[in-house]
Amino acid sequence: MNLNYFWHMWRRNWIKFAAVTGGCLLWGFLAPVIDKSVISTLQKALPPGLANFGSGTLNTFPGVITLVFEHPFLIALVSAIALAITIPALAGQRQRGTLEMLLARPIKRSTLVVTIALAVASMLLLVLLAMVVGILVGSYVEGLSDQVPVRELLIVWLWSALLYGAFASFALAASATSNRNGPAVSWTLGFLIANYFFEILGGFWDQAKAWQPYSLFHHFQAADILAGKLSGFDLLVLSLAIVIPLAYTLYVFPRRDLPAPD
Amino acid sequence: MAGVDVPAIVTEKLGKRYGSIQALVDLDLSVNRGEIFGFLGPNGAGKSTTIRLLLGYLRPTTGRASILGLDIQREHMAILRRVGYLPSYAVFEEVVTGIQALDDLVAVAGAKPSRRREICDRIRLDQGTLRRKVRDYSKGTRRKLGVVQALQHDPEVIIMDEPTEGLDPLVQHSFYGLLEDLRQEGKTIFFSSHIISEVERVCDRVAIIRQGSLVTVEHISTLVAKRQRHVEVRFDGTPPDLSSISGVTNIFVDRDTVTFRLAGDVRPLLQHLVTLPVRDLTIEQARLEDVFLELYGEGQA
Repeated sequence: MNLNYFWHMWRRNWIKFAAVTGGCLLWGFLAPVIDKSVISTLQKALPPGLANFGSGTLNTFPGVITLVFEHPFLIALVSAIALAITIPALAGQRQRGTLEMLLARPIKRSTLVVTIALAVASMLLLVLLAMVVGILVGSYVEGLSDQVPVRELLIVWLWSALLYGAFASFALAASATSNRNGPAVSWTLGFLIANYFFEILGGFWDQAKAWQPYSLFHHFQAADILAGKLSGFDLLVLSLAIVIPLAYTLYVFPRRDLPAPD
Repeated sequence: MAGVDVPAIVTEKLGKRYGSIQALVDLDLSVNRGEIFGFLGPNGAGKSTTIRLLLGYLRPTTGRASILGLDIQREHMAILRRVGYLPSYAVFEEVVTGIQALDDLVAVAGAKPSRRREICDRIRLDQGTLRRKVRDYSKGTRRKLGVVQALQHDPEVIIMDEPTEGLDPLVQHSFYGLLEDLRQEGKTIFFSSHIISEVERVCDRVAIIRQGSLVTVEHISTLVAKRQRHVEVRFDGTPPDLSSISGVTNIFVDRDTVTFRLAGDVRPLLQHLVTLPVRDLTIEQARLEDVFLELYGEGQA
């Protein structure tokens, strides 16, 4: 890893990071508030597919936490790390021409990839940690602290980092093989939406349940984790979903030709 | 580490193919240490491809190359520690100041900007400008920043692609002086350009490249001397026949004036002229531009 470039990544993206962190903190804080004041009255009206998304159930506070971790709002918020930070780090720099300047320095392309991956991983962990902090603070304010399984919540945090890390890893691979932001963003968004679609569809339509295991979201069962049930298979799937695109990036990017930008 | 007797840059049968397009064909070059080596050709001739191969942006399809005795593929990192590169389109982050941009690049390299202030002074890039955001820079100022980033860490070999693009004439003049001083210090400068007059002014030797193939490599003075001079002679009275003189071609007579091209040694002409009633004589040295156009003309033919 190139420590100087690691800090450069942080300096370059701190506004985006701060915005996403603030959003996650607020979102986590609001979960207990919403649970107490809104969801408990709405849950009966929700269709079962939505109420049980990601194995969560809105009948319980842990169920609400599950929803909070897999809600489209959070997915959109955290995906900003993949789309607005990971992709510009390679494809965006290539498009602007700054990658040319960077690679004229004695920094290996593989080192660059590892440095970007670690910077993004650190941002993801902190962004999701901000949400956990928000949940804990919100629970305390709403007097629900006794319902929060703190140890399991921390495991959920790490597990969610694996889930979103898999999308970031995919984004890095897309970025490393593109000369422009556009195609990499399209591929990553398509991958994200397809995963979400498979999971959601299975919740509404029994015929589509067989497709759910093909969704990465299906391997993040927050409710089960909060109940103390950990799946080694899910852990393996999410870990591979990070490692495979990263390995692909580390193989392809150092070997690919970088002609002069248009 | 290779000794100082090793050429600064060597390419052997270096080639690059993109699909069906052969961008560079069997390039053989040897750039000596301490020289300013011109690399001349029009856009699309293969200049940038050569530079990108040398710096590791591209992988050669055929052949090999080395910089300071280090193989461009196996010892790429060691090369980049000793090279400064000015791309034809040096681009910086827009939201940082000039100083931050320079600091970031030198920090990533783990180098020290030992010559930054001196280079800035030479090309008239003041500290106040460096403290402004890059997005506020003019094209010329961005170019100056590009020059500084390429030289600030005191590299041994400097590779420049169209370096004066966007620099005003005064700064260009200072820049040429800077290059001359760097040469005096023993630095090697690989100077790629399509501006013939600039290459003629700055470089010791020049390689001319056409459609990915090397046309010639020579000292500029030798290259020019080999080419035909343009001669004009005015006589008192009717001009005599000069066609028998060695090297004289393309004779054109207009009343008392004869113009012609002269190749090779000038002495047979002078020995002949002293016996004739010559009123005026003009011999124009061939310029690199003539050579370039002549070589390209041969290629077209």
